[in-house]
Amino acid sequence: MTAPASYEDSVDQALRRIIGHIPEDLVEKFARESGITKDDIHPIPPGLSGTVSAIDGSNTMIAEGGSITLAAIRAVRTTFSGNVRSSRSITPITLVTIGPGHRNIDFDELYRDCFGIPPHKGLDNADPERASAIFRDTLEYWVALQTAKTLPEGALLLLDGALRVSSQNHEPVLSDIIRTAQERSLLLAAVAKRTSATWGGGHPLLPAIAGLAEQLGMTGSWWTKIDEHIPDHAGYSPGRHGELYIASLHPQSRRPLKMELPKGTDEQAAAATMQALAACAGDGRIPGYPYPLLDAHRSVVIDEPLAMQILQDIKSGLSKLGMQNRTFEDLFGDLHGDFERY
Amino acid sequence: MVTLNDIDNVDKTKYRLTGRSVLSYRFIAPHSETLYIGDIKKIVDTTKGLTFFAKITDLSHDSNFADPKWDTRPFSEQFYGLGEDVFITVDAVPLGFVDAGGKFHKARTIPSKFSTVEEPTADDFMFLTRQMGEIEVGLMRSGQDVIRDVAVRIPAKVLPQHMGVFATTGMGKSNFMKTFCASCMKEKKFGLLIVDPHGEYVNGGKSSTGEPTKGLIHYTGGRDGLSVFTIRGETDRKKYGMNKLYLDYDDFRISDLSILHDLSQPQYDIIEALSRAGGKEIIEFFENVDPEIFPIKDTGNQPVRENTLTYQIRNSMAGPVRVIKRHIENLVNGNKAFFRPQGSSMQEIITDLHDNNVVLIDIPDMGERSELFVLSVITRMIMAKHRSEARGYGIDERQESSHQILITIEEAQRVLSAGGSSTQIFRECAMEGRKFGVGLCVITQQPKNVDPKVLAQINTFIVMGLGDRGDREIIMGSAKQDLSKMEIEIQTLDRGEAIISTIGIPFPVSTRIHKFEDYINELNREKKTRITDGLASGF
Repeated sequence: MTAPASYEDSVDQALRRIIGHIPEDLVEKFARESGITKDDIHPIPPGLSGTVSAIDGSNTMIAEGGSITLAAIRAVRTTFSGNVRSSRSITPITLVTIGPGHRNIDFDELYRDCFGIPPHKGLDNADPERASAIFRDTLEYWVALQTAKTLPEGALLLLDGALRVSSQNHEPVLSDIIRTAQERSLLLAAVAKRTSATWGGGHPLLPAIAGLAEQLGMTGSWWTKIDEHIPDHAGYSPGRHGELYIASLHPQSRRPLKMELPKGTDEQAAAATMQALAACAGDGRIPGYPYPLLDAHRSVVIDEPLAMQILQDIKSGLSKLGMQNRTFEDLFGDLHGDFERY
Repeated sequence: MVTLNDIDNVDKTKYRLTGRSVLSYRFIAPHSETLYIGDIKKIVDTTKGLTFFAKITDLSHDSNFADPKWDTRPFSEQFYGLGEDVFITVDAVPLGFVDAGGKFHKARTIPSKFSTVEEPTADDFMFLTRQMGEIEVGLMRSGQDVIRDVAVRIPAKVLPQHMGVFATTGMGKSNFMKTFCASCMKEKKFGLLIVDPHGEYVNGGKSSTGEPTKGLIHYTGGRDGLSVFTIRGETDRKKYGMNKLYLDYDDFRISDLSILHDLSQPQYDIIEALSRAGGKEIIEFFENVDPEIFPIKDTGNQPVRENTLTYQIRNSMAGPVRVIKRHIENLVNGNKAFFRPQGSSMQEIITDLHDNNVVLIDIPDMGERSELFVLSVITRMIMAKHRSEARGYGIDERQESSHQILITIEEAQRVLSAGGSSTQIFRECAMEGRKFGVGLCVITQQPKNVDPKVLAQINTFIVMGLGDRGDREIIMGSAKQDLSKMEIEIQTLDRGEAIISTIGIPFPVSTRIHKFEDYINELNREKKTRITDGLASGF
């Protein structure tokens, strides 16, 4: 690649890249290479929505300093029965510190609190963003485990994202969640809001499968399992506990979703899970996306006003303890704040 | 220990104050709630120990969603949690607040954030009941409902400071006026004059919607508060105990013609020249005069004597004199039923008004000119009498001790339009009457055609549904209390509903006017009860 000489050149280069990822014969090529036929794409029959619990978490940075970062996390569970929310529970906003030093002390405590055992590896403070996300996952997995233990048989447990851990510390926890769900005859799925999955050396997976389904005349809701050899990077994936599925959960949705069901889920269980998912994906705001997950997201998100309020609470507390704002600025401030004034 | 806490499924975001300023409140209600413009809500501020009252002025759909087109996008098959994030935004205008001691104040402060919005009860309006006056006209309305125990009563003391009744046809104007009359008959706090050219006030008739109606004589319990002067035959008069109406020629002034006719400047000059002459003299003069002698140029052999009427208009042309002569002949002939050379009911009328009676001038089938003629004569004589009494007592003293009279003018735009100098007597009454205890009850369906200076003198507004925006704007701009936030309510007032704004009551009150027939039935029953009580104690 040669560096573009101008902004216009740069735009042209970006356009060529995008077009290169989506060739004109994307669908035909995908059909040829994937071997997926109409028999592999299953229609989803309409069904009534039963009990669905969705779990989601949120993390945000409250104050970032050179040596210490303060993050806020929380997780939520929202449960619907017959399309009506029956309950909603949330963990308190929890503030965690990332740094100083390498090993995160707060993580050890939180993990022990959640699962009764210490984490076998611990959390490294080197990347505060990643550490903050792992903190959030910890709470999410804890809520998911509690929910898996209490949901009635046949209910659907929905997680946000994938059945794959980002930290080895969560390996036994996710396994426990899946095992508990299976023992209690729950349906379990993790639904991704977006995916980077590609095939054939960088072609996006979702437009290809959506185009193929359309070409094959699928008009309603449908699902298909993606064989593990199709995606790029399909080899060893550490922490993966699920298998890849693509589903379009609403007849009017143009955007299918990538989701994961536990490894070894048979076709009958997969069909039942998809039917339960489609039954709660008809909300007019985002048709095709399971609305319990939307509700969970809206309930849990720590948005900017809330983050500001938390920051003010921290400052107020420090002030009562005798710390000057200047000291706080020395710890957490950077010149971006000064820049924004101009 | 990590905990998972249940979020209360009860939605507490509704019915709590979220906005906005001292003069504008806002809260949200569930999307499925039935609310009405004009609903009165109680806002309980436990932080400050105050209870605020507000009236709903606007309702709109709203949501918490960032996507402004969420509700128009396709595929909207269902929405989970619609009741939480989709709601009705309610705008309300403050009426005032009651402090811990039960005293009402104007809205000079703002309720605490998230004060609860509740439904008021009749007990909450005790402060209002205490401030109401005497002349009951209906029940306080909150949206579609009435608050049964809160009667709306206009303070009698403010009525001579003029009252305006504004409504388009069919909105219940006649019913209001009859109900008002019945209350006046009951309370006898001031004299009320009504000239009725349709004969509907006495014994009823048909409303504008064709329903049979009753009249004031059917309010038997208040009969001693009613004096009727009529041109009806003796049989009717005896049956209903009415007086014969007479005006004599001397009650007339030539200036009355200017109210009845559009006069040219030469004709008006004649009126002005003869304005001091008595009515009888004028009528006899024009009966006998030959208009063709005017203008009188040569007075050589038979000079015109000075100080005669002929002399005073000697320079007029024949044409204007001819027109005036014809107008007077028509006046005399057209009003023969009550207009005669000698013998007048005027003294009796004024006496009855001073006895605080409702005086009804019943001239069925007489037409608009006769109505204005009678009204003009009586108004002029009342004003003259009250003026002379005021001169005798001194104005300040007179205000303390005077008789109070309210003169009703239907279709007031006929005589109180802007720039109409010919209707001087009514204008004088509007501008100065209150000093002499004479008020006008201005009834019109076109307030925009009434002189704004006259509207500015009115202290009591009865607004009963005005379809015309110009009319509404005039009223909102003229009322002593702020009605600007109530435009939608005024626009959506139903038949028989009114907004009453008067300086005696702390805020504009939405009112369901009593149905006259039901109201007098109730009053008649009350009266009978009192008689029974009296008999019991007597024996």
